[in-house]
Amino acid sequence: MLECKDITKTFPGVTALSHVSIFFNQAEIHALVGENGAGKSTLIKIIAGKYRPDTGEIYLKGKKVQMTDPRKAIEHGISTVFQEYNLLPHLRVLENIILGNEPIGKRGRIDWKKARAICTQLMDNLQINIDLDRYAGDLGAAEAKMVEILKALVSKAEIIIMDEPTAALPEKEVEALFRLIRNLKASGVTVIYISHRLNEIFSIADRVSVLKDGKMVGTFSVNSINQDELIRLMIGREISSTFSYRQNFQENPVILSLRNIEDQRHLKGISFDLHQGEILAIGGMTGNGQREIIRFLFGSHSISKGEVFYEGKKVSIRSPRDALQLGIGFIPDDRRNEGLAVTQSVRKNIALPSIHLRQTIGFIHHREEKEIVEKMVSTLSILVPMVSTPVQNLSGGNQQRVVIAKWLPLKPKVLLFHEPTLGVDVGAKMGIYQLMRQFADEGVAILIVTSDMIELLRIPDRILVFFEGKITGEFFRQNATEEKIMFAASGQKGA
Amino acid sequence: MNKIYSFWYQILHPDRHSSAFIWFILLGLVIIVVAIVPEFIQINNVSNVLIQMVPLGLVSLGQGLVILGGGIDLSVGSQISLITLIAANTMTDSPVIIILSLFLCLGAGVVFGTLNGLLVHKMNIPPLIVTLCTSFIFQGLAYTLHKTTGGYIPSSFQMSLTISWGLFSIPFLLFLSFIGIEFYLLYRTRFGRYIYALGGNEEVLANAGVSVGKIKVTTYVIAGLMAAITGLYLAARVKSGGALYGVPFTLNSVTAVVVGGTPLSGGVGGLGGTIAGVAIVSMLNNVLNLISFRFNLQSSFYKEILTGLVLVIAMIFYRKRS
Amino acid sequence: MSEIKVYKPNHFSYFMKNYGVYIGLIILLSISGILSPQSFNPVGLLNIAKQTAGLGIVSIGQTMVILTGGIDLSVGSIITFIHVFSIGTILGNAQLVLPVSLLCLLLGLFFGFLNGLGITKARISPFVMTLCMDFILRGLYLIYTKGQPRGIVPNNLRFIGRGRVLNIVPVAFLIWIVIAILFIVILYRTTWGARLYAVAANSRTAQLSGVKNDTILISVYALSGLLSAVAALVLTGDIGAVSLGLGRDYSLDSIAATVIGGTSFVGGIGGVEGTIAGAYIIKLLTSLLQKINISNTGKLIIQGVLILFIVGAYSRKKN
Repeated sequence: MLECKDITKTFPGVTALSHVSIFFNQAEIHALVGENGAGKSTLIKIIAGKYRPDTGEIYLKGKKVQMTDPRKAIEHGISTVFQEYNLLPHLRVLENIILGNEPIGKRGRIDWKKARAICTQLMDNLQINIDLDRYAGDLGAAEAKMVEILKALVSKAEIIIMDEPTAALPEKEVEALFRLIRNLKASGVTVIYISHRLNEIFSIADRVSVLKDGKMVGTFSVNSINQDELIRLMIGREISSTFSYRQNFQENPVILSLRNIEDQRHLKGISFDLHQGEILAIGGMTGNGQREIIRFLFGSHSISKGEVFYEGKKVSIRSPRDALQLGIGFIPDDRRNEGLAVTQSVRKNIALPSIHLRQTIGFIHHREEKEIVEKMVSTLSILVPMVSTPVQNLSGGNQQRVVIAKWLPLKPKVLLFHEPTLGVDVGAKMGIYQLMRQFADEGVAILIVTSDMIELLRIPDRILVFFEGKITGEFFRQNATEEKIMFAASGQKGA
Repeated sequence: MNKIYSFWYQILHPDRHSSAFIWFILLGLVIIVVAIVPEFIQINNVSNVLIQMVPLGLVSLGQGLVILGGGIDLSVGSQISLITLIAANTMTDSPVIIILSLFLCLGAGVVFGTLNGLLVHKMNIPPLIVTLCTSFIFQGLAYTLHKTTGGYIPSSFQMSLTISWGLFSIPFLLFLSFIGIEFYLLYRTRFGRYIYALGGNEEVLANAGVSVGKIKVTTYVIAGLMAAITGLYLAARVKSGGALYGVPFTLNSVTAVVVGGTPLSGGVGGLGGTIAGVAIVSMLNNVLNLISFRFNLQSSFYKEILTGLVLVIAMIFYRKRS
Repeated sequence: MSEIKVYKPNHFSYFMKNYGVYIGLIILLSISGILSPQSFNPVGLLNIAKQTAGLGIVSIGQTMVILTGGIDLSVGSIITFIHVFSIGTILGNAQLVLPVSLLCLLLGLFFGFLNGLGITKARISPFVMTLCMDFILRGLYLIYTKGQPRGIVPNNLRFIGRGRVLNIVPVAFLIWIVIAILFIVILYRTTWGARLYAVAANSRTAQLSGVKNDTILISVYALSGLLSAVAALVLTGDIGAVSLGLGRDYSLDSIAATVIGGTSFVGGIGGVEGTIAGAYIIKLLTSLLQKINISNTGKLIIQGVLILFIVGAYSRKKN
């Protein structure tokens, strides 16, 4: 159906794809896996017409094609469902679905009747039902995803690329999505499916291709390989054994105590304690209140009810400044837009939160600042030639270390991590886990929110599972299994 | 249909997508005004207001599309001035020349709009800065063309554009026809949907395979065209050209569009709201004139303050839409 | 894959971005020197410096505003307002100069503060807020003077505008340079300055790093208003009489000076140093154009083209 031969693509300074050849059959669900930076994103962007390869050719149904721009790809029947939200919230569902493919009636008008008919037909084919007149901004995450798939289908796509389609989806919806994908396959569509969630791949895909460092490692039928082998192929080595967990943190004093935290929409009564020296993780499907609770602890989200106690005293955290003064640091999930000022130097980024500690009447102690920054850089093993290098030149893992370094001069007592290894490749992930363990052993309390099951099972001392704004499960690491966590994450209160 | 789309909810909540709300405000304002300044409702005055609305209305039709698409055009005022001067400097009594001059002016509007659009799209400069700078350029050109005599506009041209009978008038009919054209464009064609998409999220539009640049540039071209038409109309009305004729139109058109419910970030809003906004701004100006006349004040001083206040209030009011 | 991405620097573009404004200044100075050699001596240059002082002072405030991604279109009206207000209140009485000047500084601070409030608390875009302030102030000073301003300027105020130290160096110029150096130091050496640049580079990150964004923004606009008031007093002293058109060009000119000086609306790039050169360039341009008899018209056009050119050059082109 679709064949890519010998594709190479380079960007300034980095080779994204090197002599990659791959083929996709008609009516198959073909998964694409690999670490961050392995080249998956680049490959599908080339197929979708967003990038042009430096060398190599693409053949569609045996004929050579040139994907000069996204329009061309759509014309050839290739549609993409992106990872990022790709709808217009202020327009209705119907308008969103037909965007770019509006049926034209007489005198150049849009034929709304025909549009509605097409959409209804598509929804019937896939056994889904969404109100076409709703505003897209009112849809839930799963419905929005389905609308995006409908969008991809309106252009009579024969190949649909899905980039992390389940990223924001709760469990039940994932099943609905998978049903839809199987229906697509039944109607002859080829689905190229990118995901980090290997268990999903084993349940939905026919074949899986592994990319590593821009090269094609191999394509396998899903039946002929297991998860560990797959991971080994992706990273070229075994995953390190788990980090040892601590059990005695219970004896440590409680540093943060939350009681009955509620907010307008997401949190429905959260209570837990965080001990010094403990690594506590909050898991569960994304969108169940985890983001809100961690941002609340950093003063970035307001609540309507509940209390927080810090070192036994009741406190009110209304702004990041309040949190900072309490000794709480925050490493956000979107580090490029919220954790770093990428045009500024490493030094300026690291120095900012603690800037008030090195000043006299407002004047900064420059030498002291340089010393502290350099100390941070070496403590955290940040690879930079000079601290004046702009942060945007660093790799993902190093950038994450810079974000962590921001807080250390404040000698924080609590560190909040939101998706600590998002966009960080497996090698660098280990380094960050080691740092966390180190901080915890030095007495810092660490709270992680993560959607990475491997992370959840191997790093923290204790795990809380959120579902619809409540805690449905609490496990010590020695007792935690993937099943128990999934169970709690789907709403059943834990065993 | 659930509660959200019920009539009264839409009326009372300006953060939903309807313009019914602003029409109610307009009605309310009219009632208040008539109570305070009864001379407003005289046929003479109403007819005046309707005619005075026309130039602002024409310009705002264009500005509305640009802002809906997420941009802004601060050069419309100087474009208008420049067009009045081109007309005043080229027209003679010969009907052939008049027609040619007309085409020249319209063509100029298209050129100016294309310039704006290309600078915004190709050079990736924020529209605020681009149109601020092109407004300097156009204004400068207008100064060079400015003659103290005001140039020459033939009477035939003036008459054809200013005939009126009671409440009806050629200018207003002109305005209505353009409203009709824009209605079709915005609500019945693909282009209209693409403008909404452009203002909502450019990336989404690009992903759908649509040429974002074409849509963007076209909105500025339409703005330029409408500015040209406004310029021609103004030149006819006052039978001359002047470098300062267009000055109030820039801010007033932006105010009209914003008051009408289209936020500066675009993507929401529409024609109905913009027209209501034009009506409100024109009405307030007219009322100000009446009040100044009654209390013997210099209205031009207060007009400035009024415009500023109205815009600020509108922005605060509509902040949820951005 | 390498840990650090190496961007091969485009040497010319790097050089131009950082030093281009000074090159431009030198070129313009040379041109004006060629066109009127008689004024191309220290006294002549200091004369130009004196005339640039007002614009220079205002532009410092504008620079800080533009750094944070905003714009201040009200500076022109603040200048005119303070101008007519000070003259109308002093009414030639030399003893009132000091207290009234202090009052004026407070007023400037206040107007700027209002701008900042509208922008942060009411979430009005800076363009709209400052433009409306501009209109409102214009209406106010027109009402205050009823279109016919009156008053005379006492000598001590004139000294600020026209006086010279040691008979050579203009007081106005000194005031400008002192303020400029003060702000350069503040921006690069204080915590407030570091926070400002953090907000300029990425406001969301700054907020999540403990910076009080609203405080920074309000203070920036307040300072812009204050500096406009200072400029108004200097200009009043210089001009010696009352004029309703005093501040008219300053809004646009200060923006031009800032942009030409290399300060960008995004990314936190630029600073007061470049704006000093930028202000000179604008003034030189203005006087050059007057000499060639183009004056207002041509200046407007050239300014527009220049800003477009420079902002365009700084913007990354979409591919």
